[in-house]
Amino acid sequence: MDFRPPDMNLWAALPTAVVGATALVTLLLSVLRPAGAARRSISFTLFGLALAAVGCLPAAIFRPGPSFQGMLVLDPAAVLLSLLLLGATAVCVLLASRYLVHDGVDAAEAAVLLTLGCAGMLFMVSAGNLLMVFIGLETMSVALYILAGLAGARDRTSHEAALKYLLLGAFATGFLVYGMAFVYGATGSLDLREIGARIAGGGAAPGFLAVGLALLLIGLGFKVALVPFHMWAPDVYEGAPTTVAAYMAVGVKVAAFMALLRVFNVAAGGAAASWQAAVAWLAVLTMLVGNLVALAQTSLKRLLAYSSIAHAGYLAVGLAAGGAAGAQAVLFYSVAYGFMTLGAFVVLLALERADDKPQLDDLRGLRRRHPLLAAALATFMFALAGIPPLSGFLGKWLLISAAVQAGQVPLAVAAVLCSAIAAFYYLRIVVYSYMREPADDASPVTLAAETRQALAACLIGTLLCSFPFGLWLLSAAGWAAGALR
Amino acid sequence: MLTLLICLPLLGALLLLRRSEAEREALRLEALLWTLLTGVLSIFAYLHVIDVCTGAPANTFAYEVNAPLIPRFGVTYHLGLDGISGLLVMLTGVLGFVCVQGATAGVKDGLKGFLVALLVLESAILGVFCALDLFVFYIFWEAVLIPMYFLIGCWGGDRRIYAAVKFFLYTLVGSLLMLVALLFVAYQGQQPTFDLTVLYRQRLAPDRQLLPFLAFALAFAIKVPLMPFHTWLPDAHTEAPTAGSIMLAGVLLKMGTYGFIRIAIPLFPDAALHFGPWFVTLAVCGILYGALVALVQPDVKKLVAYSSVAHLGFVMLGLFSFNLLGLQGGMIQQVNHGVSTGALFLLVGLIYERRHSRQIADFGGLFTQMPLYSRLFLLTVLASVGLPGLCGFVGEYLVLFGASQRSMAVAALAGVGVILAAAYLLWMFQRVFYGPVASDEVRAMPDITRPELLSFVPLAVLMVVLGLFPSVFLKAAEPTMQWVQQQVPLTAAAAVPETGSKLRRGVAH
Repeated sequence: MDFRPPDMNLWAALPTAVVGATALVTLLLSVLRPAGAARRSISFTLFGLALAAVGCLPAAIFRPGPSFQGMLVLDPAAVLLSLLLLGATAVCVLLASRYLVHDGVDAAEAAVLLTLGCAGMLFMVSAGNLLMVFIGLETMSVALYILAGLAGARDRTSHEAALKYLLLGAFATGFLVYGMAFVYGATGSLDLREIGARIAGGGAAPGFLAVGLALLLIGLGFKVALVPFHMWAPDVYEGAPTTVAAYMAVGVKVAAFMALLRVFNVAAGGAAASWQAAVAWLAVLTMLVGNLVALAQTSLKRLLAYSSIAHAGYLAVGLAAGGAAGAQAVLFYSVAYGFMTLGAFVVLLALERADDKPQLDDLRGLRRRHPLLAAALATFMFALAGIPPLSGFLGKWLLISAAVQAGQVPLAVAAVLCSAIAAFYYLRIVVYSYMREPADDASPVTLAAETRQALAACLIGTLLCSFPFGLWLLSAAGWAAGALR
Repeated sequence: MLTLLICLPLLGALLLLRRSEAEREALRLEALLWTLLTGVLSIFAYLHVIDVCTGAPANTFAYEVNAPLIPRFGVTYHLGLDGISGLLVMLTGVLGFVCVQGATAGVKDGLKGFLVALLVLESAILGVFCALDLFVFYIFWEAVLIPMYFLIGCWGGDRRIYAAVKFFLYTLVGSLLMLVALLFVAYQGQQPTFDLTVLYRQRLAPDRQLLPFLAFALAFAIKVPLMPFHTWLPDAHTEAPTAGSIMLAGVLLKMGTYGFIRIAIPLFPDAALHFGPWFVTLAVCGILYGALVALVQPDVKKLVAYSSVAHLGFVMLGLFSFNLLGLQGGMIQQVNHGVSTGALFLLVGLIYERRHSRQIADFGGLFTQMPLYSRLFLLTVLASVGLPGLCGFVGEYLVLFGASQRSMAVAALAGVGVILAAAYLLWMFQRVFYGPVASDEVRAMPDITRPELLSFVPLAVLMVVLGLFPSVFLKAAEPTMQWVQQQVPLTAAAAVPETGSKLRRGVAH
């Protein structure tokens, strides 16, 4: 029996540890010294998130490889998405300090929950083992179940959203765990690299593996809201406070897609024949349903909810394409999607008034009421629609080129036709904000300092992902995709 | 050099952003300066192109830049100008200046945004014509949509939103399919490449060309617009502000025909030949349909818009004749159309600002009221009709000559189109400018002012120069055109009788 030294490369756990510690310390401080806790905990949380981002750098330089017996893999892809998730969390914390407080929520409480959720997401993007995927998912979800219901004192739909999310989430987790059990039965391991090796070596029972992967796809499909597992998303997004909806649309989707990428594209890449067609069909269905239903929405929050469902479909195209090209496309698109969706939600928040969910009509004449906000909104919408030279286009280009490279031209055609449908409702938002005159009773829009900062962050992020600057991110994503597995 | 040319208007747009909305005159002057600079630079660029490309071997490009952009994907930053793209670049530069000089006075509200959109549009169009890499080409091609969408949607007429959205979606659907085809083509070789000059050498097998050709052709045909895909054009043209119409007719439509010359035909020559008769049929239908609809338009601007459909039909007819005469004719005709129709839109915009009407019935007797304006209008109409000595003649003559070598019937039908063009334009001219003065409003209309005249001068010069010295322009484009023609594997004159019969069926419908 050979002796292996304990494999504890702390660099790999550093970002997650910092984020977790930040959450706990913030919680303790706000309980022990309640006076002035709100401001202090916000600044402390932001500091902690920044520290965690710095903590990613050693991992990017030393490339520790699989650590803790392969449980954590802080490879370049994980670093890239961790940075995005940390940034998104920071933006949400900033927004929460302004908007959730209006809903009667304690700022420290929101900051702690958001940070804990972030810790779970970081686990998910760097998971090297199915168990870690599960732990990360649950940490993230538990925090989100609470967050979704935070506005319950003011708005009863918030309670409904939380309950719906909890019940359906628990249901989906059942599928996930059951799937893990099947995969374990088929391959004899929960370690993703081990699973990959067994599949490549032909040592996996194909029937069990297929069932296990199908169940995993359903479980994770719930989290990223792939059609037909998307039913919860619009209601939960609409009921949850907008800050939390933004956090869900960006954080959960990016983290869960990275988990999907690791499980399917990397570990089960050898058994692509058993899942590729299923993922491709789910992608087509998701893009079609998401975009078509979004056409009929007048509530901006629901519209963005369906738009984020549709974007899960685009990401699934990259998953179905497989290979390094598909992984690169998913990584790049995740980052681009993160910034533009978050930005759209920030604009939504800025337009939100006391007890009123913003409707399409509220956008009328935004060009006159607040030119900068209108310009930002138009940028995000064109980016989401995938019009060059903005970030969404580069992402779609990668996705479609991955699909074409994989020989899946019909999938590529479906993707572009769906994005043509999508252009219609994104354009409608621009039409309302630019080409229609403001209503007579339209209130002037003023931006709070926090909103301004959050908006600037999202705008800069989107522009950095756009042509020509986005080409750097594109190469980085390519490099990270090559270093996967 | 080309990078500078593309970035110049964009830089101007960025610098304009820092000015406030209230400084109208300063905004206009600054924008004018940037477009003037771009215009002068583009003229110099074209003069250099004439030098380099006349009598040069095929695919010689002036100001060529070629640097890897995304090496893993074979994307290169490849720009260059030849006799075809150079001419269009010059046209873009000139029209940019014309737009700012002649068509901004009518913009009452949001002048800053208007000028910014116009400058960004100019940048994107210049990029389309300079690009020799499909990725770069696609980025600019689609980027054109955003500023044009705002120009129509924010500063257009009453039905501007409908027109803007229709324009955007129509074009987008076509281009998205082109994106798939473009990627498909790029991944055919051992190494993925988007460089056009490399792709020219890796020809696809004839039976694999069909679908990608159709995808490209759809995108370009929508832009041109070829007859069944033309419905966005009358709306967009009529609702767009004057500057938008000038850019739209002058250069935006040329992106489609240019796409056929630069990409669709040389990349998929077998497929182009295979589908050639269809395109010829549609082109002739477009010529006749556009002319007939233009004949009955009560609105001057709509009349000019439908005349575009007819004129672009000539361009397509020339291109799909697949002989040097037709190709050259199509090439020069697209430029002629850009100049003369751009000028028509400019002039129509001027009377619209004065009278706030474009209905032919509201005018009459303008010749006595606005003598100078009327003479300029007459010059433009004659250029558009194809009077020898002015620009329209050369193109139409070459196209008809080229088409007649393929099929006499087609040429005859297209010839009817020429006659109709003379009919609707001159009839419109007669109703608007001759006869008794229609009303007191018309009597109060002042003649063309000096700044307005200044905006018209470059176009008038182009009309005359293109009409008197066409050989200079044709010679510069000849190497490329000859090469394009050689790519098309014309064997026996098999396609000719077939064209005739299809055409008869097409017309019978």
